[in-house]
Amino acid sequence: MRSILMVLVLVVLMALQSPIFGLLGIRASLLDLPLIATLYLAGSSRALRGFVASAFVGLVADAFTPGGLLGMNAEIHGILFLLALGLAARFPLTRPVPLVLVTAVSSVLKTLLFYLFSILFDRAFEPRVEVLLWGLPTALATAVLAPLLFLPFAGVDRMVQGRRPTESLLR
Amino acid sequence: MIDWLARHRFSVIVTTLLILPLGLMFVSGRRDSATSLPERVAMGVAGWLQGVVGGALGGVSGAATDYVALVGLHEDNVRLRSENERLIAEALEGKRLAVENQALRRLLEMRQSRRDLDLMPATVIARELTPFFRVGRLSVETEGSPPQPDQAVVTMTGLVGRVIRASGGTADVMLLGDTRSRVATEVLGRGILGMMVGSGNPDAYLARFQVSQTEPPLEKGAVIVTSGHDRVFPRGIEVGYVPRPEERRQAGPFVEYDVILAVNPASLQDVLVVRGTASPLRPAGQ
Repeated sequence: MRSILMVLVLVVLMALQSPIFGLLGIRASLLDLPLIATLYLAGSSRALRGFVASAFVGLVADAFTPGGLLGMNAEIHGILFLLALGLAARFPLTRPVPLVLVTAVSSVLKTLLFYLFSILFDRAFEPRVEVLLWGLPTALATAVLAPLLFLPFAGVDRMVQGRRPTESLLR
Repeated sequence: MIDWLARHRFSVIVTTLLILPLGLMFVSGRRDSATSLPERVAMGVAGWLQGVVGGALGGVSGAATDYVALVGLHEDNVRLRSENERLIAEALEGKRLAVENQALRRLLEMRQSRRDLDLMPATVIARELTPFFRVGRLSVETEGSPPQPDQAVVTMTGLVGRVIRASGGTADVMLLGDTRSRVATEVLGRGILGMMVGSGNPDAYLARFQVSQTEPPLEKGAVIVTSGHDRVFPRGIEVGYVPRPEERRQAGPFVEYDVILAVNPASLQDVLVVRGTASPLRPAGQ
């Protein structure tokens, strides 16, 4: 139930992201909300449930990525969940600084994985350095705003279980 | 087997969920193939959702924007009304100047086309109305040399009348429709001489054209111009035209035709006063 709500919240946020950013005149892909959802799941869920939910998060991201390869984000987010799960054991993702650092690393890694899978599976993909560079602003913005972007998912937890895994984020 | 799966549940599910997307990517990556069912479903759901959310957000945003736009509306209205009034005034002034410019240009053209005449511009300063709201008499004002009685008053479209009184730069003009008005005229192109007599009709700008009974009848639309024989009005200035020659009548030794005058004095702003001729007037027909 909690994982389904997480995915639904992500769907709503992603659907809102494009028109809201359009009104503000900001490029819609500036924030990587699926990555935030995956990191939140890694820091707050059990391994198996979190992994399955992250794969669905990736599928949602695939659905909202026109022209992309279906399954690419599901694969990437599954891998990133496993990575974040390992990092969460060492760095508490409920703290802003570790969260920002883990988000930045994960975002860069996501860009590299996207590049790699595109080369391997997408016949129409043209490997260019610009593709990698375009990921940097998104990684930076997502990492800086990660503590704030955690809040909607933390709200789901508060609503479902009364848990407050991110209560120390804004201290 | 079930025990093994239960024991290795995490590894099995993770491996499956990592291999499955690879298969999906492989299928999707074949761009020459048609869009697969999962792709169509994903695109349809995401597109519908984005449409719904975008529409709702657009409505909320539009309402908020409209509300924000109402702030300062009163001040904007006052400013725009003031600006509108100023622009209307400027447009009317521009139109008035355009009409005035056109009238002056015509007068100038007439001065240039009638170099045989010594013309002096004058401005209409007053109009005396008949009980039927027709202009019965004009007062004009000139700059420069003062007008004299019996000087002709003309415009580009034709003859207006003659000066009957003058004082300084101001003069009263008797119009052609006045019962006292007499103008020596002729039918343009026919050489039929006659006299234009004011009708005295207070309800129309009409005059009567008197010709000898021995002259042939006029045709409809015959144009009457000054003949210059009275030495008041220079020759060749249009006076009017005959609208209904069949309604001619006998008046003593003459035949009379009704003539509609060429100039409507109600619309006059600027006129020309004929101070004299540069060359002697020639009799009509010569």
